[in-house]
Amino acid sequence: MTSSRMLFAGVPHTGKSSFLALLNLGISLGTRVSLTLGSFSDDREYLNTLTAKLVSCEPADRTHVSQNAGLNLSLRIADGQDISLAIPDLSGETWRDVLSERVCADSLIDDIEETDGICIFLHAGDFTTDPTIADVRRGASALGDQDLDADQDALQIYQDGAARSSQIDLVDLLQVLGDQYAARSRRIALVISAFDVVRNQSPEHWLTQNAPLAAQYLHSNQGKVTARVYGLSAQGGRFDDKGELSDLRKQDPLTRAFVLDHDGTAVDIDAPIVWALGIA
Amino acid sequence: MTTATLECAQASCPLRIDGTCLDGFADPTDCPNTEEHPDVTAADESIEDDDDAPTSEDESDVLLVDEHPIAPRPTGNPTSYIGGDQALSMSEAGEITASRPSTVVLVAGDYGSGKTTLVVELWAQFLSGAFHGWQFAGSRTLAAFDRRHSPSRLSSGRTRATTERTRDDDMRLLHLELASDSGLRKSLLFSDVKGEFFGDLVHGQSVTESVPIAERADLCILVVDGQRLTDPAGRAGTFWRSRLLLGALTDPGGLRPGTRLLLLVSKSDLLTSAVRSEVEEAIDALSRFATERGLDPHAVLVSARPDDSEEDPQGLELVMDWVTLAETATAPEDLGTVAAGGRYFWRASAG
Repeated sequence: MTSSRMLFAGVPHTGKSSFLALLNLGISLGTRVSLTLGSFSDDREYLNTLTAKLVSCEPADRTHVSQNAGLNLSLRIADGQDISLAIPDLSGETWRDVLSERVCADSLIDDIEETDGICIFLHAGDFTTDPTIADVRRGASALGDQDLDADQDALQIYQDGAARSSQIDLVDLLQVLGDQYAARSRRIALVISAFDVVRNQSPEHWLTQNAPLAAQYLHSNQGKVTARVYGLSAQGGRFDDKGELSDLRKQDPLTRAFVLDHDGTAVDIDAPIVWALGIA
Repeated sequence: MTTATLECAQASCPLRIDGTCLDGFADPTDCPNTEEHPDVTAADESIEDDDDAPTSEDESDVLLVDEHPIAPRPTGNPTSYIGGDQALSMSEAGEITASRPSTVVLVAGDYGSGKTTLVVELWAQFLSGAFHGWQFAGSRTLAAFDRRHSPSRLSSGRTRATTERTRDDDMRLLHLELASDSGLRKSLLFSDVKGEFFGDLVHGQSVTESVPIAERADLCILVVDGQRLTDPAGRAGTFWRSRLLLGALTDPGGLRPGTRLLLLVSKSDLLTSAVRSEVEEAIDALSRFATERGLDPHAVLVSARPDDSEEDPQGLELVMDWVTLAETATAPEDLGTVAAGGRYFWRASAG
């Protein structure tokens, strides 16, 4: 049996734990996945807790920095080979601290260097662009608001200096994981979660529209960073919207969830990790 | 105050034991294998903040000490600094010039003339897509660019855009890597040197002492503060200082003969058409002086971040053309690392 190690990266609330829960559900049931369970004797308590919440339409608990859990399963891949797959469920704060404090635990650097594949998560519904003051002025002017200086409310929706554009975080992660600590070439799946909020756009088009700096970086470094964009909806919709929640509860959890390939084609739930590990 | 420890990447180097360099550098900081690592107990330096910026392009608004804010490290859990939030030291920049063909651009000019704004706004053009035929291909100073750009964004809570001004007491560089659709790559290293160093040159300091990076520059952009050109007295004083600065920069140990020079008038949105013609005459005179000093001058009027912020930036495309068309080597995308024969621009023999 060979061992494979994946790394899930992303700042808080980007859907890493929800995807783990969905994977556990799909692999356990053998539905909408290409990976099958090789053994039922793995320790799945933490994963099952996450999955139970997903099944009952409850939001996933936040992963704490001190938690050291995740997916650790014996699997069989399409060609019949058995693999042991480990995906630690690192908290989003871990990654946010790396990006903001610019220090990284040496143990995490080891993980980054040794991992076989990487999934970077971003949230389609919570992707901040942090526009320039000039952009806002132009927008306000177009709407006839000439006195923006007096309109403090419009300009102080963020805490002073607290925000960073999500696309800067994304490019930062791509550079750290795909170049700076990439001892060898490996694949990076960019997983855009909450993709149910996106209308009529493929994941790749969404990335180009919303994170042009990241799209340019990936296009310019195709020989160095092999990446593929996926759209994910682990929940199938919003659990915090009463009307939507009522509809979601009437659906099978694996029916309401979906994963889209870069061009918008529906694919198996485990497609991002299967591709990132190169075991398709 | 942040302190630093010098460490060498070569395991067999005796630097840690007796302070000597395996490669024989008398000053180990000159060795390309050494790197300064900030002390783990270092504390943040403050960023001063001033809302009375005279113009949107003025750099005096925010003082930035470009030393990364290190959080106290948890005991028993060793961590490493990942970089990216500081402009590069000359030694760090040397790693880049040694590994790929790179263009080192000295951005010179008085305090508050718009040097940092120019470079940051060039980078910022890529935030919304490809710019003038080039795509963003990476940056070793991504977070440093982002911090300098942040006071011009909504999240700053400001009503007028500005730029953080660097207060480093040494030569620093910002890195921007670009790629064209035709497969060309450009690795650009823009100096991020505070204006006071250039003020010292105007007052007679030696270029080798004040701005040692000048000798290593492939290109030079001399930023002339357009805001100071709006009245005759200010115009005379500014061009007088620019001439002195240019003279000092071209003294022995400074810019090499034949270096391409861009005479860049910043904040040009503040110039009326009548003033513009007088500015152009003065720029012509400065160009002739630059030619006499052995340089290859061009001139451009730029408004990198117009004061009336509903206007679009002007002239940045010309700057991009000039920087990317410089006669420096380009490399295909899959260049990889050049182990031998690389150009360590801090070495005296480099060139």
